[in-house]
Amino acid sequence: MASLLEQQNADPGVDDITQPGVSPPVIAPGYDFGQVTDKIGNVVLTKRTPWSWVIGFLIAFGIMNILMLAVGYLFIKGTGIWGINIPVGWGFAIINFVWWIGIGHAGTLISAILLLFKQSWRTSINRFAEAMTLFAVMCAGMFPLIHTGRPWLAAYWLLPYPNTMSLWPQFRSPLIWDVFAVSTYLTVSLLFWYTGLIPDVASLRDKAKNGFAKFFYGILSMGWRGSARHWHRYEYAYILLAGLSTPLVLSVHTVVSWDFAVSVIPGWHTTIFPPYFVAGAIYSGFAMVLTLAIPIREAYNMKDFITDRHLNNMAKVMLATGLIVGYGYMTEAFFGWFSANKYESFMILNRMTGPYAPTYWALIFCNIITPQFLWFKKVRSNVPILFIISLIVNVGMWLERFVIVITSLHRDFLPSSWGLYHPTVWDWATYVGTLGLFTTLLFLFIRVLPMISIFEVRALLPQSKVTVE
Amino acid sequence: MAVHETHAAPRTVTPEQLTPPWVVDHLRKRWMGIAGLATILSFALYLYYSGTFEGRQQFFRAYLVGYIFCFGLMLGSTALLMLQHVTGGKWGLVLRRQLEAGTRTLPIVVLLFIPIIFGMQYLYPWAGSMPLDIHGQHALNVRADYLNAKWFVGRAAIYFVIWGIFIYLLNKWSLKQDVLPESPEAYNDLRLRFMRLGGGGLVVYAVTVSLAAIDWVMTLDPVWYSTIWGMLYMAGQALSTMAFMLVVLTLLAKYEPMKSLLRKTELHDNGKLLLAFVMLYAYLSFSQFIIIWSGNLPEEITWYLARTQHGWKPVMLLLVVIHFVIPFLLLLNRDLKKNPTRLRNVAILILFARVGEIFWQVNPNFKETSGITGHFNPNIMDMVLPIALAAIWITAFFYQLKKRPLLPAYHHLVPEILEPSHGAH
Repeated sequence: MASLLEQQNADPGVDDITQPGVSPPVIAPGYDFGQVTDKIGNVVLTKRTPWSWVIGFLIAFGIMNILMLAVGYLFIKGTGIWGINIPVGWGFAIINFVWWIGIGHAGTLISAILLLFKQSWRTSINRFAEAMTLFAVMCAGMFPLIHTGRPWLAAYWLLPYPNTMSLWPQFRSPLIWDVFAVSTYLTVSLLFWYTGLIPDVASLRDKAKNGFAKFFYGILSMGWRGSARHWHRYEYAYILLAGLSTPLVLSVHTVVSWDFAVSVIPGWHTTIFPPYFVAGAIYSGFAMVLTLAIPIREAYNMKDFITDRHLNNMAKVMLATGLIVGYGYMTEAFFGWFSANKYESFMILNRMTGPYAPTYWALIFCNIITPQFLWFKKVRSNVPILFIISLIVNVGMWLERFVIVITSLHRDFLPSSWGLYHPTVWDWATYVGTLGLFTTLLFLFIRVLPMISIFEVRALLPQSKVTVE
Repeated sequence: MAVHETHAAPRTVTPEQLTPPWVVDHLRKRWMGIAGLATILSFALYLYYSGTFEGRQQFFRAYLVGYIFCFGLMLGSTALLMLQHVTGGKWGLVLRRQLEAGTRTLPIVVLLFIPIIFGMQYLYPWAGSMPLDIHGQHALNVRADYLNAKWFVGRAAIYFVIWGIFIYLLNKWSLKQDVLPESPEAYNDLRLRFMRLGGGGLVVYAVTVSLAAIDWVMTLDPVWYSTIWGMLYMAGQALSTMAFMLVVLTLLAKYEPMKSLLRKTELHDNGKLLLAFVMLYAYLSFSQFIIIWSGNLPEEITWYLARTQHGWKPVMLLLVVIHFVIPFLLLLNRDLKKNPTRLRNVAILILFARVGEIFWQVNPNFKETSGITGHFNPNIMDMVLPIALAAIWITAFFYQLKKRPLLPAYHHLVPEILEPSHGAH
């Protein structure tokens, strides 16, 4: 079992090579172990909550209450308050579900796959990327529950719950696989995140002055003493969880793509969907990590830990996955004609020129044209522009799901059953509300838990580089 | 670049010390012999069978299987080489010169394409005289401006020229790393150029290989289409190439200079990549299957029906086992990935499975004129022709491998490779 320490000392792989001979450090120079702990730990242990945090939290909390209203009204009235109809039976609920669950994938990729790939730069961003994953999966998980309109009955519809009425879900439907895929994903992500937190929480316990904080972090740290045996077991567990999480990066969004692809609807039934959805998920996830990392490192002055090199590398991942997504669009367009199937070609023409054409072209602009700027190092190292690009990609990936869901459904094989879909104010309220929920959870996380892995950053310092011969 | 501060003196090596061992030339001669024999036998078989349309068709079917396999090795080498330039890392450095030798077989791969031009009418419904049903006829009418003999050759020429440009530059620039760089700036400049070429090249590769895979294999069926086909070919080529390169690498590791240069770390990393490609291919292939199976549409499911009926079912099940189950289970083992002999055995199995997979993709398309369905009915040519083509390709590969030192001696990661492996954890 390769030790974590050794992996972090390994070659960083993707170097910045424009400065001859020197690669920019993952962590800014001039820190010792204690300073790292203080800098990250003090954000949590300080008695003074910054005003900016309070204001930000209140705004997010306010937005979250829109969700409460929207869902409350939904439970009273039913899904009739939404814009869904026949033929567009799947509307915002599935769009938002796929969007949120996709965002989660970047956290798992950063924490698990980049660890296995020995990419040590991941260390400063994995903690809050994993938190982002958890909160995004929570937001995603809301939609399958509330889209039933009567979630207290959803146990029968979503889970194979043994009951006297012999009601079982359809096991051959990917929708039921989705329930398992997403709940596995949430469980493993939570375990992985928590396992990684234990040594840091123990540091906070030891540093905390406040009795309640001591107690709170004491419980969370599960008796961690930092002995060699603890570390040995910790590393073993962490690598195993990383191995378990890795297939989840692929499996969850693959199953999500099957929700669509196993049907026979043109625009949904296409074999490229699994890899294309996975790439899109990672793409949107990295956009979201950038959207969060850039303001956070500014607000908490963490630029020494989340360096420009991190942003640069994340931008490269975004470019690569964006290109795969672009390949997917091109394939769809090519096969729209090549298939020689009039429904397929109508579907793609309808996307490009039909009533929802503006959303299609906006999505092409957001997801294919915009990321091309990331080829240039000047753009990748320009933080404000990077922030704007990440926002555009977030919007683009939401539009992608809108286009896939709505344009495929609203005009199917029979012109007599064609229709249009218009989201209502409740659709928007629910969607915007989940943004509030997500941000609220993030604000709470930043306040009570270390947003950057303290002990892993310490292992990145030059002082901890030892040669193992 | 990561420089270990603890180095007493940087370890270096000269290109002369990296000369390929005698065994490379020995293997080239061996494979040339096999290629000669198999080619003569192929000609003889062609003369024997060419009396009938089915006989000639049988010949070109077998030829196409062998060709797609060799072409995959050549283009897969190009893709992995560019991937290595983009991502960096020591795994690719030890394979680098082998991959470059693989890319330089391009002229042979182009030459070997010529028989396909002559055999087009026996292979492709759009070029030939095969009877078509109404759906097939409709599909070919729609695609007529794209799928015709003139454009088929034209597009192939365009692909080869594009790949040729990338291959030429990749090999030309690589030679510069065999001489001491003038300055760190010049070296980094070269690295950056490699990175850009690789990044842009991979984008071009993805598009061209998809179109080529559609042209050369997918259109064997007049109607069927699958949007994942291009990615399936990318993963398949990466898998074939990785398996082949590992066979050669573990062989070279028996002799100096690689004997003392190849560490367990890099072997293990490459073994992991092989496992990743095994899983990637299985993932894409299974995705295609489950989507088509559950959609159950007449224009799609027929492709799988032809490949699971009339004697093809055992072939398909065997492929599931040797293309995925066995390599997957074996490669999970850490010790196996560090053991050159055992890793080589798995890689050889994968290479056979790859040929089998292509055979299974190509052959059920052909219906016997006597019946309506394509039975599993292997011919002696199905064995001889792939062997002949593979042997020709391997001969060309070893011929190219001999030409250059086995590592770019002045690559910045070479000092790290020269350092002894950190224990065999």
